[in-house]
Amino acid sequence: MDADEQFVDLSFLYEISDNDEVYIYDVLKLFLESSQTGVSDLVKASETDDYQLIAKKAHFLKSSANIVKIKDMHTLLVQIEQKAKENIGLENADKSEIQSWLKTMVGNFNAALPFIIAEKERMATTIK
Amino acid sequence: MFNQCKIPLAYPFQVLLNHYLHYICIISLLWRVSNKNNFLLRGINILVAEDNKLNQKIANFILLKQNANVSIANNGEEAIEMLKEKTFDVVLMDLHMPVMDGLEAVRYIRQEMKSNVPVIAFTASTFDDESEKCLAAGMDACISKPFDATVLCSLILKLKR
Repeated sequence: MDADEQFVDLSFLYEISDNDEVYIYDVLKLFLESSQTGVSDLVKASETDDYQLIAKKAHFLKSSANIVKIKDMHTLLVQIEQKAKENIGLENADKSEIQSWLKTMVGNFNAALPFIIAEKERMATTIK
Repeated sequence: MFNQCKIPLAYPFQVLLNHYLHYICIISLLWRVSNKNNFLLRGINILVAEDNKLNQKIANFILLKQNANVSIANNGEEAIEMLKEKTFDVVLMDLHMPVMDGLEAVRYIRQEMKSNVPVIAFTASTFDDESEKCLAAGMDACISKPFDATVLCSLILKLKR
């Protein structure tokens, strides 16, 4: 297994679809569209002190992270969401943990992207 | 299928036979549920209220595979409008949605619409009190995302009206 593959687990998708590559292709395409926007939105939210927004963006991304499983992404999003909720309404809340988790998550996400894109492209050629 | 055996047999034997039939029925249901391609949900009208397109796709796929009739709402408000127009056998409701969330929607369904349509909450949350909030609002059950297809189908079959 190469470095890209270690960051991604597609077994859930293969299992529920019974290896239906047409369906998996559609899901991967949708995941790439929605998650890149989702990660970008979360990063932008983390630059503000709007913890309600940070929690909301983390929560939204969490669902997708359980379908296309990127290394530690779901766990990190749970932590970000929980910490953001704790910080709501607090003055001068400590954001360092959130930023650290987010940095790791974005790093893993970016490392996984080439593999996911390659899988999607491979399926695009086989299902034609 | 749980009716008592009417054959005039000695009482202890009749009790044993009824228990035997009861367990046969349970094993049969479990076998049907574990067989993924058995069209378990054929003819069942299911409303899925979920804002995340990926989750919509997953839920839709799992339910259509079991031959259910699936409608999708993007938020609680849309779900309510659809419930006013059509009869559904069960509603799968995400909790966190824009415009109107799942808890608010189910409260409206129970209190304003006076509907007892079975509602199963989808939750991505790891917080323990969320299940309690769901049941207090009027939901019938909770299932965590990503849901196991077998568990989801079992729950639908158990709750559908």
